[in-house]
Amino acid sequence: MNENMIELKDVWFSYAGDDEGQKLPPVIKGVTLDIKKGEFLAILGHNGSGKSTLTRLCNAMSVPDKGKVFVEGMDTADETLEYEIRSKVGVVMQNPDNQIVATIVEEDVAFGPENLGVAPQEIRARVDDALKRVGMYEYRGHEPHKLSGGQKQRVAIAGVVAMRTDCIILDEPTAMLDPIGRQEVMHTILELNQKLGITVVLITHYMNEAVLADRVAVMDNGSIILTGTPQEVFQKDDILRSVGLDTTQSAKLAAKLAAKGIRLPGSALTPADFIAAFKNYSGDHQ
Amino acid sequence: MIKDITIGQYFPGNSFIHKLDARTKLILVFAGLILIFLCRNFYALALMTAFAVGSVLLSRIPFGTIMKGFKTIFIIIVFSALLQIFYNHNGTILFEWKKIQITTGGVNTAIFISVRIICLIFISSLLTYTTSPTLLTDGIERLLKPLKIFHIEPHTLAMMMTIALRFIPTLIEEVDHIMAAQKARGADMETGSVVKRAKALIPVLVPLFVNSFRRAYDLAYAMECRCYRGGSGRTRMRVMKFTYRDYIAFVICALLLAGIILFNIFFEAVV
Amino acid sequence: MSLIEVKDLVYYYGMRTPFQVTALDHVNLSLEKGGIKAVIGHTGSGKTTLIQHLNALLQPASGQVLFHGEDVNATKESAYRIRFKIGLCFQYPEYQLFENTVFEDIAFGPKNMGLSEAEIDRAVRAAASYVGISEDFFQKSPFDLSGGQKRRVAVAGVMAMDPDVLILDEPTAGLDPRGREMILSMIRNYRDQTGKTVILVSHSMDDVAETADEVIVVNKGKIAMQGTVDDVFSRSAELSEMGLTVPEVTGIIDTLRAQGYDLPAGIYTVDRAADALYRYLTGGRTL
Repeated sequence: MNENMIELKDVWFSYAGDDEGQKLPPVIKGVTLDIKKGEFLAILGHNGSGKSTLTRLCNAMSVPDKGKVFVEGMDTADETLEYEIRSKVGVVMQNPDNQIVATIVEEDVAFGPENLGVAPQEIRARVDDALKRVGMYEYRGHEPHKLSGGQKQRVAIAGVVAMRTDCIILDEPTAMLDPIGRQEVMHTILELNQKLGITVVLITHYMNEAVLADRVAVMDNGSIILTGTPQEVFQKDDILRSVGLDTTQSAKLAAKLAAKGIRLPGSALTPADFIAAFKNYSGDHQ
Repeated sequence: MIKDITIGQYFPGNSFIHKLDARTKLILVFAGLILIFLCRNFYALALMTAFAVGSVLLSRIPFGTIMKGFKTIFIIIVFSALLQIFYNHNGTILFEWKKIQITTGGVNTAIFISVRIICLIFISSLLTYTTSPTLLTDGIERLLKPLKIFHIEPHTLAMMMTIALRFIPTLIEEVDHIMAAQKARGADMETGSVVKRAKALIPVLVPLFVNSFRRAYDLAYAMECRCYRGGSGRTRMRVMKFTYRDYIAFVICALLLAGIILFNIFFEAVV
Repeated sequence: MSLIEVKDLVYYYGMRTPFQVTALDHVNLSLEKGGIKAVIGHTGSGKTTLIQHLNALLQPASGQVLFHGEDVNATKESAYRIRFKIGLCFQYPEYQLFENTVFEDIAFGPKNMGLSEAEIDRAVRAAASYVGISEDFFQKSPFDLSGGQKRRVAVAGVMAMDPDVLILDEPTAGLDPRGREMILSMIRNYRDQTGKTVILVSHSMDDVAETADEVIVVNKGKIAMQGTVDDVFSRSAELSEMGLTVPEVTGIIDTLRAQGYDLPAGIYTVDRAADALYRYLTGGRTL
């Protein structure tokens, strides 16, 4: 039994240029990464770091120039497995408007299962279940263009859930949303991971989203430069800053206090962690 | 603003007409349009009108709503009626002044044609008012299945219709947005000669095309990610099944056809 | 006299249709000259509709918008000319680029103003320098630039009209931390170098905390608050109720305050929060 959902082994990739046979400079440079079954992995990096290309490599939309990508042991370079691989790895993109196909919410959620050739009654059951999971069941008869950004993204997520994929890759799903939409989507993602055990890969540049993951990988210039738990990664704030990233405000606050000689116990990456650590400290010192 | 226009005028409901299979409605509307032109006299037309009005009543869609659809057609009705009144000189003369001559034949034909157009609108608007766009495309896809022998893929046609319906509101919003943004930079689209106005559209059309290509690229990618590979091997969530309602509708339509033929035989033709 | 005065402004979406919704409900607002003013509100609060009235892109159902005391909608001519005085840069402006070259695109506004070639050239160069687009880019196609560069070119297109007031609708939306920081510092530089009034429309309270001098909160088509950043952020409970999320540090301090810790309200930067917590723990003494 393979413990890894996706394995990237020394992957190199470059896009084809406008002229025939021409290759542009590589955008993925020797990435090796195992994505474990059931984990929540956040991939951090600024725009142009190669994060989105990584998505394409994980669902066989692109094939590496060098190296291998395996999805549940299946080689993405094998064209006969393409369809099978995409039925295991679902993708949600940044722009909610450009990934909804149908004119009615439930029809859109049914689109994936319909493509997979699932029986009609089974599709019905999956669509209802998926819409309930993302909290959009009441909106099943609505027209997608009348929904808010956060709601549209939840419909897109339901579309993947209804396909019963083992893994879902979300490529900056909250970048175009307002704070409320962002919270809705993050809440949904966490639920899928915790309740359904779906492997989640969240590509983001929001630190406060990345801290919710089990593991964080930081990408820069086509390579993975850091991996580890959020606690491990966010400690290296000098490296993060050097690649145009940041830490969370809570972590910054803890660092500022530490500079003044107050070292809070434990990690303080999220507001809740910070408050707990602060209370602990002030209890001990008064 | 453009976004105030409503498209895809579907009014959800639970009436007999709403519950008919989309395929039934498509076939019957098509049949209805032929029947309207089969009517040769007022008796047959009265039967047809009764059928059209009855259908509207049955659909529980307010007449006012359907009348709204007449706004644009109204001019055509008036125009064709006037044409008949002034230029059809059959029958006895009712009114004469200088070169203008109004005859019974003219008035009769004018009324006949007007009622015909009204029936036409009643019946065809009922189709879109009582059938959701998705069901409509579904119905068309299934009805066109025989076209496969001519190497026309009905699934592709239906998919294109669905995507068009899905993106029309999005694109309208986008046009609104781009127009406002260019106006904010002083673009003037409302004054000047035709050439100047056409030129003023470039700042709107170029971004619209560029953005549409980007959307198309994204959508194609999203569809492939969701395992789309055309119509083969694809199932549908919604199963289309004829019920007793559809058979009733077909029978009513057959009776209507018989009635119109009988009236055409027994009574004198008007047109 | 205020720079901009909004008087009893009412606007409806879908006016005279069955779907009529009140977008702006008797809005009164006056804005003084200078500084960065942030207009914040949840999606659908009416903030974007409000700013489109300021440069007469939308006409109110009733009420007035006065600029230097004059009604912007007084004549057709004034409603057109006001667009050059109050420059509005829309959300995701990079999707409105259309010219063959960066230079031409930035020059679109000045051209519409009827400036001479020399004046246009000067205006484009000045605007490009505010947003940090060097002359090497002038002859490139705007469609070949990166996302962040496109956005800056688009902003320059509005700055090039040399407006008295620059309005930016969600200028940082969708950008990564590096792109966001670049845009925000660009806005601050613009204010400092030109001394002009900037109106920043945002739902990012972090952006507001970092840049604004004055804050206007729009909620349900009305002005809910107007004041300094300190004033507004000290009412964080009300802001949360309006669907606005306060900066993370404000949330931390407020939670602690609610649990009985004696800390000052209205803290919205990491530095101030660190100072306040430090003072709390040491009682004013240094360790």
